Amino acid sequence: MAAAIEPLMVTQAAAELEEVFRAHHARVLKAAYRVTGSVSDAEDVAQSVFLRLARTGIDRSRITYLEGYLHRAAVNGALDLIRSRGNREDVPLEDEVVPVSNSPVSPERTHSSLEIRNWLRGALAELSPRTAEMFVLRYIEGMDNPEIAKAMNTSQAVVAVTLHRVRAKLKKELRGFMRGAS
Amino acid sequence: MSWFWSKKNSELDQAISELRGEELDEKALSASAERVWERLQSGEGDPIASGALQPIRGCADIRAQLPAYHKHELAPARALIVEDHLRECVACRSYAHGRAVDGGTAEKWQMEPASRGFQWSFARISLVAASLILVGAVSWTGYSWYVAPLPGTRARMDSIEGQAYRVGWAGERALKTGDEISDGEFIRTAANSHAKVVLFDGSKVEMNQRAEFSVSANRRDTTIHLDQGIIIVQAAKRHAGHLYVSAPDCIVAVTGTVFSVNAGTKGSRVGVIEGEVHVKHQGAESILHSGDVLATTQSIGVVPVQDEIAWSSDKDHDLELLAEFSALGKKFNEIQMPGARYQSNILPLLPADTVLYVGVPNFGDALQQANQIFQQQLSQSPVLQQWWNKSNKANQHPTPDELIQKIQTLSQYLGDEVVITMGTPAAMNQGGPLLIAEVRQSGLQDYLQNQVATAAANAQNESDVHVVTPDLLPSLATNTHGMIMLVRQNMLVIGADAASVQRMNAQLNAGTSLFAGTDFGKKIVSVYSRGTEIVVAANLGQIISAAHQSSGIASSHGESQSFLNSGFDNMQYLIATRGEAPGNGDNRITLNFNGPRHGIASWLAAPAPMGSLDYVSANAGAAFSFVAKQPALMLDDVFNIAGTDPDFSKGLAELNANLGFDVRDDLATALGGEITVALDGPVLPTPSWKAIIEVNNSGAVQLDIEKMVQAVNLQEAKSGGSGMTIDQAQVGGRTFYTIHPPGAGLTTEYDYTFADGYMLVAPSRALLLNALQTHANGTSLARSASFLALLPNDNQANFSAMVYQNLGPILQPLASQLTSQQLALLQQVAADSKPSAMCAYGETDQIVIASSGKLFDLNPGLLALSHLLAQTEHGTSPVTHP
Repeated sequence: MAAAIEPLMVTQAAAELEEVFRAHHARVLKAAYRVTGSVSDAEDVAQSVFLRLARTGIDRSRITYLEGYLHRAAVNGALDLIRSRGNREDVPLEDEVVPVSNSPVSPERTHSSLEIRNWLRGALAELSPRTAEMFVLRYIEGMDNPEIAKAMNTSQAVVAVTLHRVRAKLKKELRGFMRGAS
Repeated sequence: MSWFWSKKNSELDQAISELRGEELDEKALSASAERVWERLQSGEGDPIASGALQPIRGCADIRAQLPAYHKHELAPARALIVEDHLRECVACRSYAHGRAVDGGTAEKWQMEPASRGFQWSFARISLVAASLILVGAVSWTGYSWYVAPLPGTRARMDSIEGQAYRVGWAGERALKTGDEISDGEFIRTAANSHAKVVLFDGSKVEMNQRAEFSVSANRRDTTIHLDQGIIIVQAAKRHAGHLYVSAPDCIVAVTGTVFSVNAGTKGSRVGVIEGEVHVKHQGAESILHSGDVLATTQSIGVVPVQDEIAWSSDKDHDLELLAEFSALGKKFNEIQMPGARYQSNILPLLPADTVLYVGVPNFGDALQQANQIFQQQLSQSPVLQQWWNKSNKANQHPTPDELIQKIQTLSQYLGDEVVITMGTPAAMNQGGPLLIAEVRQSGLQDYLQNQVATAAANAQNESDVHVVTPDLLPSLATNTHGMIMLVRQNMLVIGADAASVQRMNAQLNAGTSLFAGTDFGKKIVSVYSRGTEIVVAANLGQIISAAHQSSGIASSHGESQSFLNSGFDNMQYLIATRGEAPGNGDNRITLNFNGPRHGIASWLAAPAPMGSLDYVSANAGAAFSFVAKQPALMLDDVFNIAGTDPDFSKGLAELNANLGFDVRDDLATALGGEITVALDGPVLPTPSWKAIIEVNNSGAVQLDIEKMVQAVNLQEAKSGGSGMTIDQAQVGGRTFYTIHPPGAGLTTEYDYTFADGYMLVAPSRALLLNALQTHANGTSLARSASFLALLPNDNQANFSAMVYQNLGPILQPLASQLTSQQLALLQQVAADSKPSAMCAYGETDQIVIASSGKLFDLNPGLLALSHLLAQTEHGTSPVTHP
């Protein structure tokens, strides 16, 4: 990449980073993968998240809080990435569904399902970052409203209203998308 | 797309669900982690925030980025951060547009965690920090309890047999018992190794050799990421969330059950031993219940192998022996048997008062063939040799081989049929049965005399075997006992006493008798006219009458009356025959009555359709069905047999009083006469039995059951025992009842429900649902073509009773708990065992039992099954309830 950074292994933080990475890489990669749908994108996000952590230093007194922080960082990094991806139509190779002959689901159904998932990712990229994060934390990552409100430092009412509106919006857009697709 | 349009309201949720369900494959996850770590170590730049090494902490940092932002030199991620901030911060937006905000303070930087970087500036926090820390501490307590992923390890090695390894991004390390496994770390068993792992939620995983999985969890769900191999999972009961097993091509979701997952190269297979699991596979979801097996590809169809249950070496040996016997049985089936006979030359010569007639073919040649097969198998099988030597048969004199040789030689002198017969009942106490066969070759007398002389010489004592000709027979005293062999010119008669043989000799001298003209004789002749290999016929009426007279039962009025009321007093003939049918055997046992059946003998109702069989699946291992006359009338028969016994009447009254209802009028009248009992699913850990009982009034039956429970609880309370509970639940608009018997374990229960005039009873609700599903789908045993093909060929459209066995479905689930060697042996046994069915027809004056298979065939699979069950019962680690 454009800028070089100092080798991590020679610093004291490297050991700390290794420990943090070992404990949290799965959560970060999974969260990023769910949002981006791409292994390589998820790796980029994970790299960025841990790199930033290494640069800023790891506060040992907040190591437990770090899990939640990294989770949100992964979600936001992933959202950033799909926003930057914009309307790119290329689909990661690993996402290509290979229809199996004895599958009870028709190829049309499988393909359409992939289309809708990609549409949803695109729609998330169009939302405001805060709204998108709220939506992802609620519906993709499975957190409930009070948890999101605490994590995002807002009230439950705001979370509920925001989610209600964004759902209505996405439903409407999906309807349009389906009509156009049909 | 129209498909989706019709479901547009649920499509968003569907899309969200699919997005949420997209899980990074665990192996890919591990590989990704390695790649990311390598990139971090090698010092590669931030792919997202490249060029933006300085952390952004506030508006000043944003404004510092603006020149690069305007020149489009910022990395996309950093540019987005800038844009995002500009949308939210009026001051910075004005600054970016070249408009200063007089007196305006820059909006406080609301850093998103991902964009903010993990660096706290205590100087900026200043005094607010103290209060925030306080609030944060309180918040964190709740957060860590409700939100944060579960800290600590995910699993612990409970036992290791052989070698197991921890495989993670840092490499492979050998595991030992007690080692703990973290999120994302793989556990791998080596070749010929097994391991047991206890998950943090209490679930237990048993790993076969070369199995590999990791465990991840949040506060709701636990996921086992099975990469390869076979595992058996005993899922712990959960109050919330699921236990998932994520195999390469399917995801299994459970809440508490026992099941196996085999992730192989060709695909995956999920087998449920107990409970219910949901399997997501290729976009579809299947619900499996006990005994169900799902394969993700068509190329795998056999239940997986698992070695965790310790099976004794003795059992292996016994299974080998069973397999040898099974193979022998298969070879014996290929022996050319004598074939059906359409007439008997001996029958017309028998006395008219004959009460027992057994006609068998001359098995000499077949016996010789069987002996040759056995000797050949014996020479090739060490296991069989061990059994043979242990049984000490080889040291007997004569040896079985020698004995068979003698029989085969003797058979060469005899005709096609050997008849065992017994005369008048009076003779029963005098001589007993006689063996009669035609002689077709001269020299029989010399042969027999030589054999007797040789045997006497070997035994060095006087023989009581007499080989005589008709002219010498009168010289034997009538009270001579032993073995009397009368060799006539064309007939051999063997009896146990001289009197019987002399009487038969006189009969044969007299020529044709009237036996063939008697009613009993005519029935035997009719059997021959249809062709028979073996016929066994008994004149029960005369035998019972003679037995009564000789034992003095008739003098006891009470007992005689009970016998009369039982309905068996007028039994007349019992005739069993194995005949011929196209492509199969035709076995029939007919019990004739002298008049219409009554009493207990009439309980088997006339043939009728059996709706209860529609609740038994085509994969059932065994089933027994019958239609009986009304239970109330059956109770009347019992009361009649009991007669006026005051103790019985008193006991019945007490029973009715204790139960709180009249057994006959309230319960028996509410029941129908049709019952099916089936073993429909795996036999381990709890046999998957089910009973389907016809009911005329389900409400009355339920009321009586509740009263029975109350009565039992009353008795238990008096004795200080725990009571019986009955619960009910509504599922899908149907009421399911569960009875927990007193003193039983937590897992022992009886579930039942009512459906379409039947009461369904089973040890679990899952089995009831399975039965209802089978009924709804029309995939029952009664509609199975393979089952219908087993039914005997006759003119009957229905039957009164039916017994069916098919060991394949029973043995299959057991296979998942066997070693590969045991499995191979079991498969051989299972392959040699065939399903069979036997039907009974209740007619006015007779009961006919018919089957198309072997009448008294001993299925080797039954022995194997009983053996396996016995081993499991006494085994070291049977599968247990979670």
